[in-house]
Amino acid sequence: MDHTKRLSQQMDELSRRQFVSDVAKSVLGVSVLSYGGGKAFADTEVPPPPPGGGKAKNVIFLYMPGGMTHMDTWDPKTHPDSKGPTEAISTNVPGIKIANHMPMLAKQMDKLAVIRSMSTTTGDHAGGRYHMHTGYRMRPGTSHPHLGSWAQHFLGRRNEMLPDSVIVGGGNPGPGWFDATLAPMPVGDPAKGIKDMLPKLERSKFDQRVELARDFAYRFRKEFPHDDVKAYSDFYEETIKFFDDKTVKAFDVSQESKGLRDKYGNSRFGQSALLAKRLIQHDVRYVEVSSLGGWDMHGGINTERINELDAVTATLIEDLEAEGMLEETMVVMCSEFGRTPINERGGRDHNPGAFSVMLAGGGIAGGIAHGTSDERGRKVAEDGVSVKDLHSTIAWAMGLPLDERTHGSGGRPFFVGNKGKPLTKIFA
Amino acid sequence: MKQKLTIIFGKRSLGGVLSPVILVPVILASLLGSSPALEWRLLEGPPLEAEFQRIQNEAAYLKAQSGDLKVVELAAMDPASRQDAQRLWGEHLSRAVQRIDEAILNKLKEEGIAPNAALTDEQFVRRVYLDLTGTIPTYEQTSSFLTDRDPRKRFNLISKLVDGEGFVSHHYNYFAELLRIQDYVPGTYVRTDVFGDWIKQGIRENRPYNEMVYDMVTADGRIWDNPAVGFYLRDYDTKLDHVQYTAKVFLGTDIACAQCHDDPFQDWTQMDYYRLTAFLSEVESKDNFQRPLAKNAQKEIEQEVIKRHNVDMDAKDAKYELNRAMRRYQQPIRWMQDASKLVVREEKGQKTSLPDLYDYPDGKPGDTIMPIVPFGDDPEYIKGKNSPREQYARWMTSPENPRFALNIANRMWDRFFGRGVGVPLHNVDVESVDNPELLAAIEEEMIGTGFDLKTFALILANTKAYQRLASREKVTEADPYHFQGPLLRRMSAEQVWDSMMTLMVEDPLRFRKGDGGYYNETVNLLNEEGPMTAKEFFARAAGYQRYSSGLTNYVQMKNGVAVPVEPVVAKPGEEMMMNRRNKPTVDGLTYGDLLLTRASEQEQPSGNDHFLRKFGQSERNFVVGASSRGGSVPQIMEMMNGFATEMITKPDSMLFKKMDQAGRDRMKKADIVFLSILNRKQDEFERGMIYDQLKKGSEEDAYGGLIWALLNTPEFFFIK
Repeated sequence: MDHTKRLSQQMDELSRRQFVSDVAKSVLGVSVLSYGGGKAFADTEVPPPPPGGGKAKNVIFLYMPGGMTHMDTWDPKTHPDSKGPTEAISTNVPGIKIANHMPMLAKQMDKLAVIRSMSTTTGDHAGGRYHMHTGYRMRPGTSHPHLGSWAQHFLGRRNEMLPDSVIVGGGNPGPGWFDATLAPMPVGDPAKGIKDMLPKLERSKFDQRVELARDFAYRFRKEFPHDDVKAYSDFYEETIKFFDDKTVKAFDVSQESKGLRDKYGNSRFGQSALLAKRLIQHDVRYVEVSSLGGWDMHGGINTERINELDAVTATLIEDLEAEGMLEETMVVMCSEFGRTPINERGGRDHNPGAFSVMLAGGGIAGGIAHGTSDERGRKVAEDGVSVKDLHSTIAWAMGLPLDERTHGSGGRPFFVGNKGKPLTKIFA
Repeated sequence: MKQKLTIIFGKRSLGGVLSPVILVPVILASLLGSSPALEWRLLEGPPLEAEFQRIQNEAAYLKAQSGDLKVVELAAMDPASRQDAQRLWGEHLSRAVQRIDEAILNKLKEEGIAPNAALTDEQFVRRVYLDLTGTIPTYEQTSSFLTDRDPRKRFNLISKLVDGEGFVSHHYNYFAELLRIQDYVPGTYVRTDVFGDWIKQGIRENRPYNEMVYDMVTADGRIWDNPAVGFYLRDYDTKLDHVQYTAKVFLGTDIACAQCHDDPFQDWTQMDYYRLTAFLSEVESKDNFQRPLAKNAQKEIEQEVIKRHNVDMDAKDAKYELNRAMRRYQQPIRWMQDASKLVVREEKGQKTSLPDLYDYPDGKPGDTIMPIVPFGDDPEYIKGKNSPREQYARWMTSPENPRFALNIANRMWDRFFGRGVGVPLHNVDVESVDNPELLAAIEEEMIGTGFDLKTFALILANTKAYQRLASREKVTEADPYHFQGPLLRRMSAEQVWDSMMTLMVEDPLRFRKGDGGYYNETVNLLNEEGPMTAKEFFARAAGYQRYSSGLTNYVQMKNGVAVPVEPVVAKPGEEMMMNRRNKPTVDGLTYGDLLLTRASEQEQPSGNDHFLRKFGQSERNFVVGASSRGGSVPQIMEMMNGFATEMITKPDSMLFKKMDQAGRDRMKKADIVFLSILNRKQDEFERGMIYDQLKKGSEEDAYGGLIWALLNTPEFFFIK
């Protein structure tokens, strides 16, 4: 076919489409546009969040990559298929039992809310991890923001010298469609903090080099008075702030007393949790701590890992309370999905049908076990909670506007919490 | 009408793909119009009377009066006819270049905007290396270009670069991002290296793009038999998602909304979406393959494992310990079972039906949907005996598809100019295109080259429009833009990394990723018959461990031959050299945890804390907004204090060694630093700064500081 003819046909087709959408936008206003099925547009409105949120000024998000077993932690079972190497023990809240591998947290149950009726849609690690970090399913079309980036988007950056959100020990989704200034700052090894990234030269020599680089930048900046070039220059200045003593110290767990460091334990997870607390103290808003792997227990239940989780988390909660920070700091413990009854190898396989999440602080009422899974821990039995409900709950606690529409790529509307329902009844 | 295709092979190759082509200034271009039928003399056989179409991969494409297509290798032609073909093709390409330039100049004239200044040789050499080979040029490449006095040196350089391995690497990176190539099929342990190799090989051989897409879309089989199945396996459990992703990538069309509801802003209906998906109804990506263990093998294996790992079977936790030990062997076998299960094939009789929540009057949940294309011709030829998937692939890759050639032409244009002629790339709005004449020109030229991406790159790089300075100010996608020059671009993550490599080591591409026949030998459980014996079980597990230990799948190029790398062998009494990730070291390739080779030869994608990811390399999960060209604090920290900068600024670095050529001439040394890093000489103002710098501290400190400072100016990252 002749090219021009083809192009003009195609344009006719597109102008027809354009006409429909232009008319819709200008005459009707998008929100009342509801020809055809109408479902599409109902989605663009979300009811205002219930009052009372906003008590969690900070969040520490403890993430167990691999799929934490719920039946050997927060939701022990007696059914022989599912019991595994675990006994249920009493906690300091009558009627709530958790796994015997977590004796320290059992003594703090009065500060904790456990949701035992979580479920999700995917049993694949990457997909589940993404979902748990963004509240959205992973799709090839769109990259969604991390919860820390959402918080900074709505609430602004809290501290000039430090990033607003930090991820310790493992990368996860970044700022999505927001720009790079909203990206969480990654820290690989908590013991090193940002030491690896600091200048290895003497300070005076380093400063000299920075000065020289600034001079050389001058010509190019003048030649290209371009926003992106300016943004780069700003990042240089921003980075230099990180070499400031105050910032370096905020990231340095060795500034904490030896007693406290030992109490958190020498493990990477323990030191990460301590770093998280320290960063929150220095005005970082959202810190994620990713534990090392090892939760993907297909070939046997590693109870030592659960013991470690118990000790570190109990220490963190105790420490936050002692510092008077628990009231306004929410601790969340979660994973991409739960696990099945014991398999033929003495381990457990992936189970998106039921799993548990723990929350404490930031307005959470303690001593709560919300929802149940069935007797074999396979499926949710009562009061199911979805990943987006969990996200909405955290976002609500942080005071983020669940009903404020944000436009991602392609003009599609998105909401923090993905239109989930905040679980307000687990709050005091 | 069906064309008959004849291929006439020559006896020998003429060398480089584009070497016979000569671009000449065309004065009579408009007189030529469509080529008249000419007589073509061949070395053997009777002459052909046919119309010249193009030269592609050293063959002339000739259209006989009957409409039949003859593909005649240049080597099979009589020298005079060969020269005629080359002249005609040279003229055609010159016209293409001219046409693009005119389309832009017409628009600029209409808008009353002057084109940007022409690039200097210094600016040109840096840009063209980055755009065609993915890295800045070396000091030697820069100087030899700058001192070359041939008036055709720009054309010569472009022709050379599109034929090099750098082009393969750079182009691969682009497609790896677009196709979201990861080392593993997501959610499985099935490695996809062979798919990456397939893409690279296609680029290297300059296979027509439309054919490669067709092969991917219709690929059948297991990954070691047909690596192109990697395309479908990337989305193997999510057919519906796969369709919208394919539309974005190959048709520049976003139908994502219509997956769940009619699109409110465009005209796609959910019904359109399901009709398109229906072409893939019969595509399956898994079978029930399972190689069972032989009788008694389980027991033998357990006994052997107990022996190998000294498991105390009387201990209290014996079962746990045994399980742990067993896992080391069972897991690889399970991964192989998985790899053998993943097979793309067509299963007759499968249907696509409307989803449970379908809520429009034209259908109800569960209705079977017949395949219908959402736009373009639904011509006769796609019906008939081909499978629905073949029909879909033909419709998609046809030059008649209104979006296929347009999409790839526009994407390639974006790579050279920093913005598509139509935006956004994944959903080109033809209606609002600023310069329809230009869009028509590049679409037609893409078709005219036979979807030859090297020739297309050659056309773009030779335009005056490309060889102009980048625009000074930021232009967003919403702003109109008339291509008075390319946009200022930050290098891609891969370009930054590869440029650092160019400064760090000689010929970074000497180390390449190879498959080493791993799949067929180790993973393919179908290459032996019957149940698996204990012996085979252990042999396969060991094979897997050897492979997954890291570097055994790398090759080193020695005189054009790929030789497997040799890990450094421990001396007697010493532990084997391992880095922190417990992988063996290889001289020249490993540096701490890093591999000193190009981005295309790294893990796909690189790990979260890798240099490449800090600079915004795609995680290979998303099609849109997957990679970033913005700055960040970790990125700048990397440039200031990271290993690469450290390696380049050290007194024993490759750059310092090059500076030795200048003897004691300090300014000449500074020239070498400037030409290596920014590919230009310093100006007067900068000379003064250098003088001051060189007075400070030791010579090593002074030059180290100078190198450091140049790496840490925005100029290093931007392509101007």
